[in-house]
Amino acid sequence: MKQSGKIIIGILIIVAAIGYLIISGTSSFSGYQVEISDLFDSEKDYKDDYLLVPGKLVGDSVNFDGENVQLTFSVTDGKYELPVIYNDIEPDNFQDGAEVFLEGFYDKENNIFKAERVTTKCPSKYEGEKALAE
Amino acid sequence: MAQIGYFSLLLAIAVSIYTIAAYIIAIKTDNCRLRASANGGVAAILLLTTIASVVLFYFLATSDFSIKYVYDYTSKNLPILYKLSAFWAGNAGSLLLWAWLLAIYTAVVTFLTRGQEENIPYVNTILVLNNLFFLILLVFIANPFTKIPGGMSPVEGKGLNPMLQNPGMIFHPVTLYLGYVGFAVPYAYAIAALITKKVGDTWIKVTRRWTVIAWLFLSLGNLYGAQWAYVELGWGGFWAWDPVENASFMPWLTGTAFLHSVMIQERKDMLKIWNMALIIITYILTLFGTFLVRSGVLQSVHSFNNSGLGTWFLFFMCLALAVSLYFLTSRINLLKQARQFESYISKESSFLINNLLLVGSAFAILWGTVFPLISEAIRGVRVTVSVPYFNKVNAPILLAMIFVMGVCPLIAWRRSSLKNLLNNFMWPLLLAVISGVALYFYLPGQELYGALAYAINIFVLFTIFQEFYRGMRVRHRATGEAYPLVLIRLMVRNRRRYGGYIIHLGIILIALAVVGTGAYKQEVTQQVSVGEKIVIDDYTLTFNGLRQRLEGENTVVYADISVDKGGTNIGALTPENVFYKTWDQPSSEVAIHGTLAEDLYVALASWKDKGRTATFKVHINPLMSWMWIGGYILVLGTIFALWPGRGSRLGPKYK
Repeated sequence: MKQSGKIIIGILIIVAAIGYLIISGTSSFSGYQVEISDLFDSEKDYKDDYLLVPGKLVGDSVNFDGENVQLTFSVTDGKYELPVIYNDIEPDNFQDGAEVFLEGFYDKENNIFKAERVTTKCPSKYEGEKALAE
Repeated sequence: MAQIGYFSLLLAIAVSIYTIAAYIIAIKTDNCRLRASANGGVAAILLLTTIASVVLFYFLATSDFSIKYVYDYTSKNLPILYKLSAFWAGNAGSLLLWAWLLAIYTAVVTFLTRGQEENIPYVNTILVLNNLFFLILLVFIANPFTKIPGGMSPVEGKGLNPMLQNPGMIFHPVTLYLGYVGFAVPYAYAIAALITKKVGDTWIKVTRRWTVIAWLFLSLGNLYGAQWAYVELGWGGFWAWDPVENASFMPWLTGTAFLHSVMIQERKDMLKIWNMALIIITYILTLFGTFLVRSGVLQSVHSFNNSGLGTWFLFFMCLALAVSLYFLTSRINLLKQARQFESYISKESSFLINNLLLVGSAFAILWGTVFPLISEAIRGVRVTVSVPYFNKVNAPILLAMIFVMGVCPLIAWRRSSLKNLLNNFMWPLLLAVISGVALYFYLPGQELYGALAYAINIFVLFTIFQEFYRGMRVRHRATGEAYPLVLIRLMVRNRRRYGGYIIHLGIILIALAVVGTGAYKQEVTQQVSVGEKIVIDDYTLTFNGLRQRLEGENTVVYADISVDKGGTNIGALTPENVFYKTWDQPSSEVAIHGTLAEDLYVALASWKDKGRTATFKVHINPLMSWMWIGGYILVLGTIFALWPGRGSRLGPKYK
């Protein structure tokens, strides 16, 4: 076989290996982004689906149980309120009205979202809120 | 004053348009005077953007809150360094920084590059076109000199986000931008080479220094970002595969690939199309990164609010891509390579593998980053890939890349023999296998992946040491010089080569830190009352209570923790929460006890009962310090490799 043929086979093997990693990685570690209203309105129970849910934090609902390192709170879309438990500490900027992004699983029976990762995006971060007179 | 800033930007637009037109006409008519005048235009753009930047710095320094940008990002009692660095805290200022840096680079290309007179008009047309885009955004979309409506001048500004009040704020954005903008220069030279159909390796030789410097700044930008995230965000890690982090890592990967594959073109006249494609991709990825940050299309900790800028960047990116692809495909016949690969075990082919892996990793990251957008467009649902995707996919690719990094420099050009391979790799391989097995049994958890990753890094480490040792031995025999002198002369006389090895050494140290924290970190989150202890590995942390102090107008709540290691007291740690007058939420300042072996990392999470009970997050991150040490070695190696004069040139061309 010519050397150039061997080189091409080598290239194809590497490309195929990377392609395999990407495809298998995508299917095992992906989640659906849904709205809070989807969880309540839809017939689907989303069991075993890794979900990503955006919402606004309800400030009064935050409770931290330090003994068990368990944070409970609710997020809302203005219509529904979704209760969340999260076995970790408060993320930064965890204040009333903060835009919260939940990742985890939804237990429809008990209506609770078991978060594995919670990130916040402060509404005033970087770009300031509308200035005084605007 | 604000008018001066605004009008200099407006004037810079006019000058840019004139400069571009003048260059194009000068090219068509071969008019030397017009060309000189256009060069003057480049100087004028530099002057005007400098004036605008100085004006903005002045407003920030003097806390003139009638300027909206100053009002939005600073407050009176902010330390002066943070007042000034608020320059790039928002959209408008960071665009101005970009335009200013690009103007500086363009001026350097124009006035400090020798022997490139015939290429300058083409290169500068592309660079100034770029800058025109930024200037238009600055004047019409995001003007940093906008006044607060109604002519009011508030007494106090809104303050800088506490997370941005960190030394990282001074270094991270600037180095990253220097890197981003720096890649515009080799890109411009590449396109100029395509336009003029002079696609030899001149453009590569001329831009090598630019490429390496841009690469260095991009590396530094990423490292500073990692360090900042590590000390500021309090979750114990340095990298979260956030879309914006990915956006700065992707051009680094393709830029690294470019840096290596141009060596093959320099030496063997191969991979010409590939090199063109790589620099185009790298440049487009820098724009793509900016697009991601500005558009808010993805969830990210970095997102600036959507200010309509995203669409502009998308438009400009597509334009640049279309133009680049047009020139690349229309000149493709000129780029066909004369030479074939002679053997699949050779230096050439190992470079090819290195390139495939780097680009493959960049593609995997791109795929993961834009997957939500693709899936939404195709299937109507947003499917997002999570952090494990990036780790699981990139770990094998980047480990393979590191392995190739050990093989690549030592393997022979053209064709390598079994004898050559054995001769070069037997000892490093043997030592790596032994240490890998030893580490597997010695380290906790018996992580196969971790031990393998360590072994691969150790293999590369030994190949580097072996190269130094052999070079020294040969030179010592030939010259009879003493060993320390041999080392110095050997390195100084082959700066590109040994600079490269030093950079590789830096990368390996960084990789060791990534493996250490990735595979062997330990963490515990625990609530303790005064007098109680947290035990992690052989550390014992005793909580002595919460205290409070005033720092300027900020209130600092800190925990007093005494730390024992293996029974001996090694000092106190004080993780803090800082409450800012101008900000609702406190910011967490972690406490780190760092040694070369590991970092003990403590963050204060929350407290109750007036501070008698508090919750802490404690991490042990093995080898973490080596990430920063590796970073400094990388800088040293790059400066060493670039140092001009005798010994800085490439060896003879190998045909």
